[in-house]
Amino acid sequence: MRNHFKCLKLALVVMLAVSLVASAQTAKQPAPAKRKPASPAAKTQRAVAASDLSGLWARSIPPAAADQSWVYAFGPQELPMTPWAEEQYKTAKPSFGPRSVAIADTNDPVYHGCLPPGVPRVYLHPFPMQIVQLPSQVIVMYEYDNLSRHIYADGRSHNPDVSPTWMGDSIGKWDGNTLVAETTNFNDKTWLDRMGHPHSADLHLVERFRRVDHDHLQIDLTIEDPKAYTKPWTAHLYYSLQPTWSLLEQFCEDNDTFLDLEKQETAKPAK
Amino acid sequence: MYRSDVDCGGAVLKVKLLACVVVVAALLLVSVSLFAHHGEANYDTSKVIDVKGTVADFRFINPHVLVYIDAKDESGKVAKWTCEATSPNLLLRRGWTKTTLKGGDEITASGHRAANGEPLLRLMKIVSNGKEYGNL
Repeated sequence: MRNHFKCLKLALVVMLAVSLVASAQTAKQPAPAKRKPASPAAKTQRAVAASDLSGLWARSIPPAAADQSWVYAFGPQELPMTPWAEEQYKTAKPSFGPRSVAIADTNDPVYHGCLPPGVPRVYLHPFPMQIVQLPSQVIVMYEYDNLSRHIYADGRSHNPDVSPTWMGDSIGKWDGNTLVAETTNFNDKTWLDRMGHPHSADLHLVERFRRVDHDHLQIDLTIEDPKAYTKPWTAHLYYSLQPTWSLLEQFCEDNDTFLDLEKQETAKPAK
Repeated sequence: MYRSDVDCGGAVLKVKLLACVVVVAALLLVSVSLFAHHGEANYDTSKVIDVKGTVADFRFINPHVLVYIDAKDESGKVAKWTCEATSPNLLLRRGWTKTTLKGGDEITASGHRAANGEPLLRLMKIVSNGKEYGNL
């Protein structure tokens, strides 16, 4: 009996600790917006989407982060690459991660010519994004290089008339409170991440966007690319609402000074 | 020996550890405010050095904020240093503006020097105008 009391006391202490920590987290966040009375138009909109993803979102450190790898890669360190992908990966000279080289020596497409990072790599660039949800589409505006994507949720299919693109062709469907976006028709000119993991032009990306609560967004990314990966794999991204921030300009092309500086940093010292 | 006695005794430590893990995990669930800077191979990350002098120029621009410092070495000669920080977009949200530093400001900059020995610094900390700025 005494032992059961000891166990119960411990359980209560843990529950109290957890709730204190949780309330400390939520105490910092702004109160949820008051709901406006529903107009007939608003009711129609809510019939289409049970959730609103709109907001300016900044990435949070993942709960299980053991090191900085989440900054430049998705999922586990070792991805289930096919032999084709292994060969591609060997040729990559990234400026991030354990295989990094000096930036003047990198063949990362983003750092030569400021080519678009593609999706999902764009999520690894450390800038916020703004989501604007409309009845027929969800627009995701990335601060990095002022890139944007439209996820069409009006029942259309993928566009069969366009050639492969940097950021892909996205359509979405609502599954309860979750927007399930499917993106295809990628070109093969981008890296999957900042470590140089590859993807093929057959990449089929699934993103599940879910507003966990007013101030938190979760995106579950599933990579389906049989040419590059032996099985689909999923990564999780976590975001916090930033109600006082606005998107700022950020063009990759602004890096003349930066590239000159990096060339100086890696030049052989004068004898 | 009651089994429940042994189970609960063993669970005491595990529960305490779990509580610690929960607290630490919750503290980590904050907006990202630091990220591994790429091109680490460019810098000598084995030591942090200080550069003391006056601000010659301050460029609050993308992709990297640049602080140019005129620093006097031991012999009194002026060495011109170029110091880089992260994007102004990130620094703005940490309280910086385009006038946080100005030409003529006294400054001590700390960071990693270029691996080739050039007067180039990847900034980690700045002390100027009586204020300390980290997370650069």
